[in-house]
Amino acid sequence: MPVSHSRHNTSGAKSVCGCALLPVKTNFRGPAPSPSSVGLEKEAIDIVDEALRSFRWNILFKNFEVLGDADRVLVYLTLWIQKCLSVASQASGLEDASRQLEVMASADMPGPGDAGFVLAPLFPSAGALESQTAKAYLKQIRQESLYRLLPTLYPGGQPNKWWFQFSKKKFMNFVL
Amino acid sequence: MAKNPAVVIDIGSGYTKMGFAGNIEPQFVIPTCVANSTKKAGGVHISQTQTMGIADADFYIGDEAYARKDSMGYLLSYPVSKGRIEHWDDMERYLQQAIFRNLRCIPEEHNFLMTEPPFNTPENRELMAEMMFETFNVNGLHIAVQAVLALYAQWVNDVRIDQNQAGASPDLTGLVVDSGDGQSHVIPVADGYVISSCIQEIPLGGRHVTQFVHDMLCDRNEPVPPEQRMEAARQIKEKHAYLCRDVVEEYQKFDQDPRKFKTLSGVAQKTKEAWNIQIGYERFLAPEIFFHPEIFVDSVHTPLPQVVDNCITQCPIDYRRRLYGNVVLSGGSTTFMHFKERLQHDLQTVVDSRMKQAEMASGHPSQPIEVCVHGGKQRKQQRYAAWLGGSLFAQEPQFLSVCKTKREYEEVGPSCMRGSPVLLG
Repeated sequence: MPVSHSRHNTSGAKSVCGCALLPVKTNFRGPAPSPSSVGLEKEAIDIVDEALRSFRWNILFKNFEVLGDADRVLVYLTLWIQKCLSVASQASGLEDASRQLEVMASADMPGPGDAGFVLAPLFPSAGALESQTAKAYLKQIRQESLYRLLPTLYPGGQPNKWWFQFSKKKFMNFVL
Repeated sequence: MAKNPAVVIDIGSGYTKMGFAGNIEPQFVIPTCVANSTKKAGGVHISQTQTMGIADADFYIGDEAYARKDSMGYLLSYPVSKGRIEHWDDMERYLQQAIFRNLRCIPEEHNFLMTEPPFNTPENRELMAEMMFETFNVNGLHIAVQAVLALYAQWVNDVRIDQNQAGASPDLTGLVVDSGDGQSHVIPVADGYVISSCIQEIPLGGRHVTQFVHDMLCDRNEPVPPEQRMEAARQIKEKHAYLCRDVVEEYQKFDQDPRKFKTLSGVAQKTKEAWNIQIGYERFLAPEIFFHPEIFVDSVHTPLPQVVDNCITQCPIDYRRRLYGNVVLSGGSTTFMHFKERLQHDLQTVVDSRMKQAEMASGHPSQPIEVCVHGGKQRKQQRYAAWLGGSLFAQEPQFLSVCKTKREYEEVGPSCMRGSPVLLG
């Protein structure tokens, strides 16, 4: 089985700046449509679940062919999870890591259309308004994925070495 | 002479397998390495020294040589690289001990079957003949290609024993996937002839799988002493590694079932402290490097099933279907659990998708190609497939007819070994 692609590539979701605006099960506020509004079940696997599940496999790859708009979001999330791991591995423990990461997740990180965005070659450029929406969306899924990731990284408050072993790997040689 | 069984020696770059014909597995599997004493001035040819007794000759082979890896008085030499013998003097010493001390046989009374790698040169065959006939004075010698022997072993096991066709003549057409310690080869054989122009080489082997496990242990900071880490990785590879159907699913299984994690313990050599490490995802990830080389190295991209498919599509068109139907595994790195099934599944997928494209392009439905991958019934049979083939073949009456005798050698000279007769030809 090759590198894992997103199953949402053909979902027909609206896209901004090449990112598919997929529904996410989240309480964080942002432009992502809520799953109930598009008639999704509660148990449905959303893009954040997908990124967390495929992370430990996809992180080993240097090449990834973007097959659709959802794959761009998957690439972004994989890099974000990697970033979380590398920051957390430097932190002193669960509290320190979650404080640092929550600040990062809710801060304004460079997004599509910005000069400092490392994934700029992957994302088509678009107008300022679209770029705003895309950045807000990425911020929302950053927060949601961090919220779901932390219990896995620190089960019972102790660092999980089965995840931290991937903290030095580089997906596609990019670092957020 | 017929009373004495032939001696079968399969010299590989990692290990040399040797034993008597008729056995199901080699009696001796020892590392192909020689520790030479540095006290003597340079390498002196055995025939030039008067010390033919083993007690006087100051060198060690195999595991005993490894034990002297760090000792000052000895220098390790690996006479074989990439399957080919490079240092003939060392090889001669190696075989001297192997024959007289391990096998304990008198070469004059036995026929010998040696193996050669797919790209062996006629000059190397001559050198081998010279060494075997003149130094060891063997009764008879035959040199056979490893891949063909592996196919022969497969044929004997499947056709002659299972289907009980004792008199059938062997069908030596098939594709041998031979994966050793240093590298892997995909070798097509048509009616006993190796199609040399189509042989594919993959610079991945058992040692790279070990390295991958080693790297993962490092990444996780497992508490194993660094000098024992490689050895621990090797043990993990041999005992616990397997291939799975879907890697992402396999991760979930590990999350749900803690029993999938294994442990390995040992004692540090220097401090005598016990260590205990956990084994996790490397169990299914390490053998995966054959199917996704890019997770381990940047330089190799083509997965093994694709290499096999490329190899077969280069072969003569009349043989392609038969090659797909008889893919034979040989060598230690093909013995991972489910390797056979995985290769079969992936290769079938590659072939089917190509056939579908051809159908779309031509508009004609084509007959589907059935892929069939064979392995030994036991791990050992597959690991030593080339040796086993030699052991089975050397028992046959045909062996005596292809075997060059001492007298033929004396009449013609080393050039009598130049030609490579087809097995059972």
